[in-house]
Amino acid sequence: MWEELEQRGLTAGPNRAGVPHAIGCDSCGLVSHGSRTCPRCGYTLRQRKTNSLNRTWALLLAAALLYIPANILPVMTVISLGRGQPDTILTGVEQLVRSGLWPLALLVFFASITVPVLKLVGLVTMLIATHRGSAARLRERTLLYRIVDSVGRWSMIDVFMVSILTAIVRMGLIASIYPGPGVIAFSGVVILTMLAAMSFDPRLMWDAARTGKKP
Amino acid sequence: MSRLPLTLTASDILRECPDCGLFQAVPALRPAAVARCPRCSATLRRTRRNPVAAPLALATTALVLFAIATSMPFLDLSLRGYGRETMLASGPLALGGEGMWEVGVVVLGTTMLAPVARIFGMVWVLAGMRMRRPPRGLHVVFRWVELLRPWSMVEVFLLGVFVAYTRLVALATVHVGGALYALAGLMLVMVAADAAMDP
Ligand SMILES: [Zn+2]
Ligand SMILES: [Zn+2]
Repeated sequence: MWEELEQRGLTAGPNRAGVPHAIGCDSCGLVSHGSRTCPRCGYTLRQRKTNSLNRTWALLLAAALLYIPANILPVMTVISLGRGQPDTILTGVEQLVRSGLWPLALLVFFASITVPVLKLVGLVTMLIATHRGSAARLRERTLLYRIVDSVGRWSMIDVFMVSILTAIVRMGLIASIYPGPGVIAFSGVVILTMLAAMSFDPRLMWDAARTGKKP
Repeated sequence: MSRLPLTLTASDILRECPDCGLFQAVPALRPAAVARCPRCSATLRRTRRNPVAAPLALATTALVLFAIATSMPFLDLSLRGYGRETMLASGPLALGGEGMWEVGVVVLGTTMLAPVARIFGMVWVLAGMRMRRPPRGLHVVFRWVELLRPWSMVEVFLLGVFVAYTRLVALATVHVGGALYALAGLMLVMVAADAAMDP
């Protein structure tokens, strides 16, 4: 797309692809040098994402703290014939298992429990390896980053489910579903880990491996 | 930064790998080809057979489907004479009504606002490019279309609908409204449009 825009003269092309101090644009990929903003798309140019490691640590810490209430507190309360029953993320999966919906239960378990843990553990591993200047398994770690970055949004399944059930099941004491505080914490975890993955710069792992010390 | 001995021909493009930071010359590609980073195998450049017309058709279709999805009934429930109809926006509204406006805003943003902003942006940029005198600022709009990509979650939402549906059918009779079919179509069209329009 960016090349299509450029060919039509709708945005500037490369000024000169000089190699020393060249910076690749994070937004459109154009390599340029000597300017503060990208000549093609106008995005602020930076060698690496700003303050990447500190931001990622801060967002991950906040996500890890929220992770506890997200799993303990009920995400919704199901009232059926006057009796109320609170549901957490985990008992929601249990419900699906009990109804014999195995494939769906596995899917929800993966999206709501495996993915957030994978994101927290994966990003912490990548951060520590970067701080230590490790050169081991760089390709695998880069692949892990791509997975963590793309799979995170799928954890929202449970939040959407609660939203739909809250809207539709409202028949007083016969059958009603109310959202629980767990859903606030859980959507916080999803958003914070998504932001953490976005603020981590995988190129720092390669930089750290090359210099062998903290960037 | 880079000490690579590069010799660029006119058709080559210098690229910095977004995942590992390696600078490299990417040759001009024939249509429908992909260039990957030799060091970490990230996708560097991709060309399409039909870079403007195909995604424009898809994005326009998506706009129509979105209009249907927001205006038709979404899911209807009936139980012992009680009935309840919902629309796509009912979920976030109900969450807001329960004092969970934060979650309501998140659901509204990821299932309605971000998708519709992306679709409008795509149509604007792609249609603008085909005009004889294209409007200014297309590149800014396109940057937003790309920035919003991870926050537009129609496909995730559909799975959430599916899970909710399985729990509802145990409880009462559920009727699937036209909005849900439109949303399923919208998801397919959006995936196709994104694939047809790689940056
Ligand atoms: Zn740019
Ligand atoms: Zn690479």
